[in-house]
Amino acid sequence: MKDVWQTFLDQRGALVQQLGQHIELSLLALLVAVVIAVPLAIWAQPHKRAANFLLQLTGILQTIPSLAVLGLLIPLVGIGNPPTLIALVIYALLPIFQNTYVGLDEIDPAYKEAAEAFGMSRWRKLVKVELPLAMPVIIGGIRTAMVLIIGTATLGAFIGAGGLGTMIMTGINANIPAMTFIGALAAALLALAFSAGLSVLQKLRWRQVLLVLGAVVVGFGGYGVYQAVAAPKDEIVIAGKMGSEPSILINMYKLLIQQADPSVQVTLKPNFGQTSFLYSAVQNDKIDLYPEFTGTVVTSLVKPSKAQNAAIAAGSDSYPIAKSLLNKEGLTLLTPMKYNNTYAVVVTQAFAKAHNIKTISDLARERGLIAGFDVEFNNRQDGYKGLQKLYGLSLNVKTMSPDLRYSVIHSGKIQVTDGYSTDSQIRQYNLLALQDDKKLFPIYQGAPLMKASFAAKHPALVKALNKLGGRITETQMQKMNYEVNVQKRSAASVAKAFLLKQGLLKEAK
Amino acid sequence: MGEMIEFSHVTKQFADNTAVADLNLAIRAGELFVLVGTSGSGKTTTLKMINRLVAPTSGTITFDGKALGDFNLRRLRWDIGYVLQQIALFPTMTVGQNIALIPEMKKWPRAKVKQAVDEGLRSVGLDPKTYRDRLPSELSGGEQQRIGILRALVARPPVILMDEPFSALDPLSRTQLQDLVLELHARLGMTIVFVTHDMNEAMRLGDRIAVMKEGHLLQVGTPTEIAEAPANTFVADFFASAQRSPLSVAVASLAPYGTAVAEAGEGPGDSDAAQRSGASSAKSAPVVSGQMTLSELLPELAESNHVTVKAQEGNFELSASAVLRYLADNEKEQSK
Repeated sequence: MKDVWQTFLDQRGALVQQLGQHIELSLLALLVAVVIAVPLAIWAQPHKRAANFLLQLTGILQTIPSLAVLGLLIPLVGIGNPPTLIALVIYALLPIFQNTYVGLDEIDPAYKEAAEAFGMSRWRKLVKVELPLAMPVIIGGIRTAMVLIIGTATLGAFIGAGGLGTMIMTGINANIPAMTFIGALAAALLALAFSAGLSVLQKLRWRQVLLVLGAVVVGFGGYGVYQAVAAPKDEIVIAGKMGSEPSILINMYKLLIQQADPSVQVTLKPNFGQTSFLYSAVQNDKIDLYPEFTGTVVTSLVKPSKAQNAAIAAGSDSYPIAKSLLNKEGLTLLTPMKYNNTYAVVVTQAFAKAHNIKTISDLARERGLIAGFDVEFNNRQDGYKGLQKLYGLSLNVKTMSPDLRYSVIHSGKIQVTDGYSTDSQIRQYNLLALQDDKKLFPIYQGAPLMKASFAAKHPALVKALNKLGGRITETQMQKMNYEVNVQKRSAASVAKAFLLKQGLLKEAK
Repeated sequence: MGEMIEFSHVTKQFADNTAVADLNLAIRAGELFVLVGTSGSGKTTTLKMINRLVAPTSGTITFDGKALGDFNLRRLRWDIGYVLQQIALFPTMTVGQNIALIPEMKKWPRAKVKQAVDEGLRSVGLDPKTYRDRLPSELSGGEQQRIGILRALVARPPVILMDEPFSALDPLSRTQLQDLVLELHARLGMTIVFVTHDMNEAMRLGDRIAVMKEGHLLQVGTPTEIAEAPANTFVADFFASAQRSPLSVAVASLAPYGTAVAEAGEGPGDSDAAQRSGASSAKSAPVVSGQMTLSELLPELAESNHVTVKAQEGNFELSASAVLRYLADNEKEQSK
């Protein structure tokens, strides 16, 4: 509980920002869904067959898993807000359409007959009689849709739409359950609050409902116009993957770019999403650049030839291969940093000292050790299978979830585990990443990835970012991750402190 | 008096049933004309053809000498007031808003609408200050139908159609509203076409009465003409049944004469429990169903002097003297 409170205090700012994004996205989706579904249901009223078809269609749309909808939308509309908005609207259509249709359909025929006999026009009948009578049922549908939207909107974080899902995912990725809990709790409370608000609306008179809806629309419109007007024309958008390390790096990028040209507006989108989303975001100009790893490029993003693969396996530098293959896609990768964020075999420093172990070859001499490996690492050719073949390593392996392995090795139940060479826990728990002296693990060096045309247009920016080329060691990166993850310092301040210390950044007067 | 509404050779055919067959009928301007008949007689269909809620299959209907089809539909309906059996005051609008519907569509100035609403409320015996801003749900059934009638006549249409407007009301309210209709008709002189299945009501209200059966018009005439010279045995029987009616009403409709009681069975279906609890207390009256007729109740009443009536709107206790009072009231009505 104390943990949760502390995390809450640390993450207050982010929480407020994500809550804002979440509300904005949810309300917008709701509004769009209402604007589509309500008129459609009104139109379908005298068309029974069309109504049945639409009911089934919206029903089917709703059965598609939300993650799949997002996935299917990415090739069509890219990432970020549009696909999330579309997915949310799709989910909200059924309850709103269904309730509006049923609400109008179930009006006592006597009222319809009276309205008809009084010589009301179609429009007057709708606005004065039918919609007010159906309003509680319609609002009921909107309520259901709202709760659905707020829940589903957390998935927006997967594809860079922000919102409370960011906190949930960051919590999962960084193994901070308190953060996930806070994100989930905030989403649940938001759903409850909106539901309660709408239930009040349900009891209001028709005119008051219109007033409230009008206020929401006007507020939104005004906000949208303000954003459109206030948005700077020439800005550079830098995104990062989930976690502390990309966040620190993009803050360094921002500082370096602004030092080179103080007039440039740089917007950061930390925790923007997973690799494939960021990659397509650059291609679709949703973002301008993001930090990527050479190893990731050659294993997941481009397809190296057999000869190139062989060269990489033989331990040759993957950067030139990655860069030339990216060039064919109209992309480029700037000069990589020094540190190699690859798989690592990790032991405690105490154990290493006691047995005089520095490299994986040293470790292979030992017998009867217990290792806790991630399932994936255990089965990969560039994981434990490769370790057995290349180093003759023989361990008593227990597979476990990646979030557990550091605390388990810290507790002494295992002696060896796998990790990434820049993980902050290596520092936190006094561990040691052993040297891969036979070069089994592919090299993962970080560098900014962007469109070649963008790089050509911004030579000063490229020059500024290349200052990081060959800088930052694994230990330095571990330390910075530690400062952010464990000491709870902000990524921006950690990045700035490092650049100043390295003389890459001059203190502003 | 000229003809206000005229049906000539009007037939209405629904899928496999002839609702109205070759109807020829003239309704005169300013008369209170009652269409009476059992269910399925075609009386409501006939009424709804006047404001074109139902379109005739064949034949012509004229309104003030002009074929109905030649009118602009909405304007025609603004000139034909309509009162429904279900009352159908719009529950989302206040009493005042309900009354103002047609004046607003006719684009009356605001002040005139307000004045008409207030005057109208007074004319049906309701205080404008108390009632104008209430919701229909806060009114009794009788009060609601007063508003229903007012809503139909506030814009002073030359014709008002009333479709069994009082059949859902208790006998006391029904009588009061019948008086109101007679009074308004005498004062304003519009043409009223009134549909009912109750011969008593028809006799009480109608300047002239049309008796219908299975889509056919059997007889048209003043109440006296029909009473003295029924066209056939059906009309004679129908007329005679009206005379017997005080004892054939459902006991539940005597609620205004009884005293409400709270306990003794929550609803239909647990009459056993009600019986048992009735037996346990010596003073308790026997429980009877509100659906039995008054004539069926008489032996029971003769025995115990008091009965508890189970009715949907709430249980009530009925004494023999209350029943006598009801019969006396009824007799007074009949002889009017």
